[in-house]
Parts: sequence; structure tokens; C-alpha cells
Amino acid sequence: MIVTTVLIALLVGLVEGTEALTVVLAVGLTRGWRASIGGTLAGLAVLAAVVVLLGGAALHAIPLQWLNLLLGTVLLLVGLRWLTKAILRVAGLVKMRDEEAAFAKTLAQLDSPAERSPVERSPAERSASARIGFATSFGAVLLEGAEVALAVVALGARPGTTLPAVVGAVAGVLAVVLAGIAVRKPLARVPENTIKLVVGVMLSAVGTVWAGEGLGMSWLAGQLTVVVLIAWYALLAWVAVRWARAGSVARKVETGRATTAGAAR
Amino acid sequence: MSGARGKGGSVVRFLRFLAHLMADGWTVPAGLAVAAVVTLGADRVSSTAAQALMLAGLSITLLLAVRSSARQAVRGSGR
Repeated sequence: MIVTTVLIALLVGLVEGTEALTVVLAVGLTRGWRASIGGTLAGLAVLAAVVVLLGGAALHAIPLQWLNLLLGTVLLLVGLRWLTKAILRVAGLVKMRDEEAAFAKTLAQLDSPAERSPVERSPAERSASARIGFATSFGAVLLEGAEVALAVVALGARPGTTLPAVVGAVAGVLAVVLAGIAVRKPLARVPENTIKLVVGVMLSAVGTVWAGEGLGMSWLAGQLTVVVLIAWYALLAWVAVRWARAGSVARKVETGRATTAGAAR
Repeated sequence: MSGARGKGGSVVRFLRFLAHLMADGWTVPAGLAVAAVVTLGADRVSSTAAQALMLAGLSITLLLAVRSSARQAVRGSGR
């Protein structure tokens, strides 16, 4: 379970970190690195406080069986949603996330042509511009980091799993930060959807085990239950991708027939 | 919550609760359908059956979520 915890936290940190980095880079290039880094650090501080408050104090007051049920439900909700989204992307029904396009869009929003260049701005204008940059960076880190914090709290709440969850998430985010400093571009090559699919499968499997334990079950496969469930959800994801593709093609044909019939009338 | 008696009922209640949380219009009827199917023997269901029931319920939940979101995506794209 410790390896699974580290791996899930690392992958969640990697995916969400990549999405936050895109905005942080755009803010740095348009509103200055001080605002961008300041907003990022403030966002990280808030997330750390949430993890400490929720994971360190609140959850430990709940009896283990109820804790398992609560955490299992949270992991299932996050996992099944990630899995659904990733399946639709693999099936071609929803566009893949494009970090370069998201970067260009954020740059365009922040770098309005109506604004004067930083050199021509008055101190008050520069300050207002920096405040917008700070808020944008802060909001992006908070928004993308919320799921990382949720995963760390949920995965790290059981005895002996706190350190692996924190280490995994910090390693994932750190890898993104270092890669961002090295390339100074959005990390377009990170296979975000594949990672989301894998994380969705793993979170759903762990969530099922914990929720089941919370309901008083003792799983038949014992220690191997997580592995069996990972294989099951992976198979289910494969079936769902094929099903979604087939359904989409059938609806296209139906729509085409209806259009042709309408035109013939 | 423990013990063989009532385990099936707990699973059913859990699935219904999860369905409500994931409500996209389809999960509530799906959760209720699962509940209806197993209610007959819910109180006497064994641990093995409860595990199978839970996995089946969650698998149906996932497949229906994919179907519902796929329909929305196709409608949204105008295909």
C-alpha cells in the first residue's frame, strides 16, 4: 500500500503541477517573476496549512472504520471522475489538454495590447499589474493544488501513510518545478491524459478497498486486493473506451441519416 | 456496520449515497436500481456477495458516467 500511496501522490502532483506551471510561467513573463513566484509560494502555503489542519488534526479524531469509509468515498469520487474524463479523451470525444494552447491563451489574457510596456508604466500601474499577476498565480496554484492536497490528506490519513503521501506529492511537484526552470516553457510533453487514466484507476481501486473496509468487509484477496482491483478497473476503462467510441460512431450515423432524410423531404 | 447481517444493506446505502454525490441525472436511478435488485436479500447477504455487489455497483456507476458524459460531449460538439 505504501508504494501505491507514493505513486498516486507523485502522479497527482505531476499532473496538477504541470497545469499550474503553465499559468505561473505566463504570469512571470507578463507581470514579472516577483508576482508570479510570490503568488505560487502563497498558494503553496495555504495548501500546506489545509493539509496540516485536515490531515494532522481533524481526521485523526474520527474512528478508523468511519475514516476508511469517508476516505474511500473521497478517493472513489475523485478517481471515478478522473477516469471518466480520461476515458472520454482517449475515445476522442473530449479534446486532449494542450499545455501550449493553454499557455498562449493565458499569455494573451494577461498581456493585453491596451496595456503599456512595463517601462512606460507609472509605479501605481506597475503595482496594480503585479497584484493581478500575484492573484492569478495564487489562484492557479490553489485551484490545481486542491486535488493534490485532497489526495495527500486522503492517502496520508491512515496510520503509516502520511510520510509516503507527502513525499510522493512533493516529489511530483518538485519534478515539475525543476523541469519548468530548466526549459522555461510549458511542459507539453508530459502525457497528462495517460497519467490521469492511471491515477483514476489507482484511486478507484484504493477507494473501493477502503470504502469496503469502512463498510465492515474483509476483502477476499487480502493484501492483493488493490492489485486485483487495479486490473479490474483498467479492464473496465478499456471496455468503456471502446463502448464510448462505438456509441459516438452510432450517433454520428443516426444524425447523418436524420439530416439526409430531412434534406430529401 | 460489521457482521454479515446488514452488510448488504450498508453496501446498498453506500452505493446510493455515492450515486447522489456523483449525480449527473443517471446515477440516482442506477443506484436505486442496484438497491432494488439486492434489497430482497440485503440483510442476509454474505461478505463475498457484498464485495461482488459493491464492485458491480461501482462498475455500473463508472460505465453510466462515461455514457452520460459521452452523450453530453457529442451533443456539445454538434456531432
